[in-house]
Amino acid sequence: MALYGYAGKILRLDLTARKATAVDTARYRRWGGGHGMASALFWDFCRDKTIKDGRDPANVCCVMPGPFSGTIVPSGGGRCEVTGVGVGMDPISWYTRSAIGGRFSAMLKYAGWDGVVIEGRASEPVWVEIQNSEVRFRDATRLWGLDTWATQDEIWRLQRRRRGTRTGWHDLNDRAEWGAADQGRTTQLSAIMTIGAAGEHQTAHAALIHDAGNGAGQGGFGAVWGSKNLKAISVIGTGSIEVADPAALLAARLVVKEKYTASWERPDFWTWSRLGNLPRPIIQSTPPTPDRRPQSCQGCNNGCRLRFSVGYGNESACQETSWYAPFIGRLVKDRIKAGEINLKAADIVQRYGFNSFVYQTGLHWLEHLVEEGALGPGRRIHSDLPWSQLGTLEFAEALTRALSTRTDIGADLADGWVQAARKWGREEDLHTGALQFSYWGWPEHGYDPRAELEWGYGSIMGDRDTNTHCFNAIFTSVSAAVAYGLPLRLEAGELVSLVAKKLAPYAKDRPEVLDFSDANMYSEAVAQLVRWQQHYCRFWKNSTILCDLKWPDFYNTNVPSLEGATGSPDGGEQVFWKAVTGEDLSFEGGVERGRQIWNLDNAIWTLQGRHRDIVHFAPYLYEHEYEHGELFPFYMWPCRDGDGKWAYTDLMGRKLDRAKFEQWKTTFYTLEGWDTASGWPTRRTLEAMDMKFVADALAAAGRLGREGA
Amino acid sequence: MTTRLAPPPHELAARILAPVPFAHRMKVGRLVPPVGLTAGDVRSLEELLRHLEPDQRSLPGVGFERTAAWVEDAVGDRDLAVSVRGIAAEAPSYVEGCRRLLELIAERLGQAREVVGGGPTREGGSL
Ligand code: SF4
Repeated sequence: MALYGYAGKILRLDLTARKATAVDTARYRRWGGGHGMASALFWDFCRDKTIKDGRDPANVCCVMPGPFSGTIVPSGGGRCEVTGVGVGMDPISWYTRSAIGGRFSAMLKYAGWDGVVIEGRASEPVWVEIQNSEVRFRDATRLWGLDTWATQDEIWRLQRRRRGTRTGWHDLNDRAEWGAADQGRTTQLSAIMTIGAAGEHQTAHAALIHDAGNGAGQGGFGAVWGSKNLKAISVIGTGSIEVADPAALLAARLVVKEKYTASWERPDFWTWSRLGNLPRPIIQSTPPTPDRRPQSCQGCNNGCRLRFSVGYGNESACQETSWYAPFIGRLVKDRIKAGEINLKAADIVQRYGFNSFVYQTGLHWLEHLVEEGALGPGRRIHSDLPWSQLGTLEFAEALTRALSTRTDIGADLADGWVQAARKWGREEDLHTGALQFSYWGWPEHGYDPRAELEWGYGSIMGDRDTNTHCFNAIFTSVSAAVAYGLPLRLEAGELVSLVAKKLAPYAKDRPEVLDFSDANMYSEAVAQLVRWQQHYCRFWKNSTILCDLKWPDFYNTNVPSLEGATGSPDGGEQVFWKAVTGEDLSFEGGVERGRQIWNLDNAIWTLQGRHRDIVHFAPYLYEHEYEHGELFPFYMWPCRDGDGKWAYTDLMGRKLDRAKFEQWKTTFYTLEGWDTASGWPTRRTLEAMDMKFVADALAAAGRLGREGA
Repeated sequence: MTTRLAPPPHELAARILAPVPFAHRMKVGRLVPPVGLTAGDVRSLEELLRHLEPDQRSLPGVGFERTAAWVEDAVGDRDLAVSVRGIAAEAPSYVEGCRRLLELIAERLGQAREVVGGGPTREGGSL
């Protein structure tokens, strides 16, 4: 039977033995692809699932495209899931995930692979070269020490020298398996994923980088690769992916473009939609020059990156283009110069393979320690870094170098920021909020758990800062409209009804799940919302794979009915699934698969040592209110008043209640069918999902949840 | 914008142009979708001015009452604080309030520079 949407085999790399083998994708078909398949592969191949640090040689890291990778599914063709036990979390580095964009996942599929499973540890640095079905382990001694851009340049140089022509063609004909000989030729560059200094030194803030600006930052997977002596994976493929119904795929893509996406002829820059915006670069500073062109992951229908004629800031988007901005203004007055430093600081973290997300709240904390006199030359926390130059480009590089190479304060921060706080005697900062690392040793994202519940609760019930933007366009769209005094495109009651229509099965037509008011914040309804988000994401977003910035699309002001593409009969996730794979899976069926994947993940966390007793936020979230007007004057969200009437309401000015959150956890575990005393999955729940093998493993480890507890 | 404030006396002008100690900084934020609300702080009116400068990508986050209190307590400029409260009361929207606040701060800094003789401003962090 044809396995539409899949290449048919998964590459298994044993770095210890330098052996590459193929695993039949069909064996893992039930898990969809991406995250689901990766969790199942981890389950099968990780021999010690009690490991608590991703640098343990037993760790298994998967780099997994999904069935949509390499196709024209809108904002679904170029994303790639990375999984494994992470690094630097607290108190345990969980089995976790990250995602990376660009063209790596598509190229891997074109080379004939549905994913890469990385096991063991090479005795010397290696890089892995994949050319269609041929896989070689190469000596990376000369690449070790190069930054992520230089590494890619050097690999491309080596590849051109070996079998290129002067015109830059790669001729893979002698290795082509794809029928006609000409299909073995390509002008494409290999897609390379690599680590920089932060990964080589196995630091918690190490990312995987691909091309100029794609990164898998969260989770510390750069450190995982560094621990395995894996410098890079390069892939080039000249094949293609057979989809079940190309006409249906094209038709659905056109529906998204013509029905759900804002028109170029009559552009609406205030569209309320996630999928339906015009291309919107999400660099966080004013572009340095009008001479630029858009750039995106493969297949995106409205990309979010830019390339500039000035040659810096290319492809960086989102947080890495804002991490340094608050500090630059201290020393640099000129806006053009400030913008240049800002984007060059983005380049710095890309080159070091450094996850700048830790700087989001972490750099404010370090500055706080300096100002307090606790950190600096000769201080209790000794540092020779030139802190008075914080805000200059030179300092950005010096700090990132130190943190990437375990020098200066980087030696203590390399194994986790919360761990460093304890070592420095600064645990109190987690109580005052001077160190805002809210969940599992990771920084608060910008959607404070005291206000935006699905983000916070989802993070703590999961494995790290969730970084799942399903719902928070509600906050940004409404708050921006209120800030400008613009008319609201959707009234609160209308918006929640539109969203609830899409929340099948648990919360379908239950708008109260979105009510984050004080009266409803620990309710069963909010627990259902968090469940829906976790299950939806585990399959539709992380396994198929769809971009987090575009899906789900709940409401859409480009459409007369205002209903978004998610779950719709013409442009919904399940429409693309059927067109690509041929399988008639309903939208709810996909959410159910997500529940199975979520349960598998929880089983892994349970084996690693999770218990409900350690599932709690950083103390400051219980001890201090989210202060009104500190970061912004309001945090608007739809809530019901005492009469049940919906209105956009400010959620600032409150803190979490520890006892009530404990009750909420019990509600959540009950709904999931887990043991409420431990949070562990139960046999009945697992067997009902055809996951007896998981129940057996948990029972053997003495960590199966009790029924009815 | 027409200046509604009398020029500050020399000592106050110097304070207006100077950074406050770190402990007296004012926390501010920025709404930067899709990152969310990011934190920052300002330690001088000059920094507040730059924080308020409009850009195409984000919205500055300030609380007008917090700002007024900071101007009064940390900077020591009561008249300016009254004007900030006036903006909070009158501005038709938050963004318009930010724009008016920006103009007000720019004007006050200009006055202060004139009073101290147009000398170089002391600005930047107190690191
Ligand atoms: S929106 Fe950005 S991150 Fe998402 S697929 Fe498009 S280019 Fe990639």
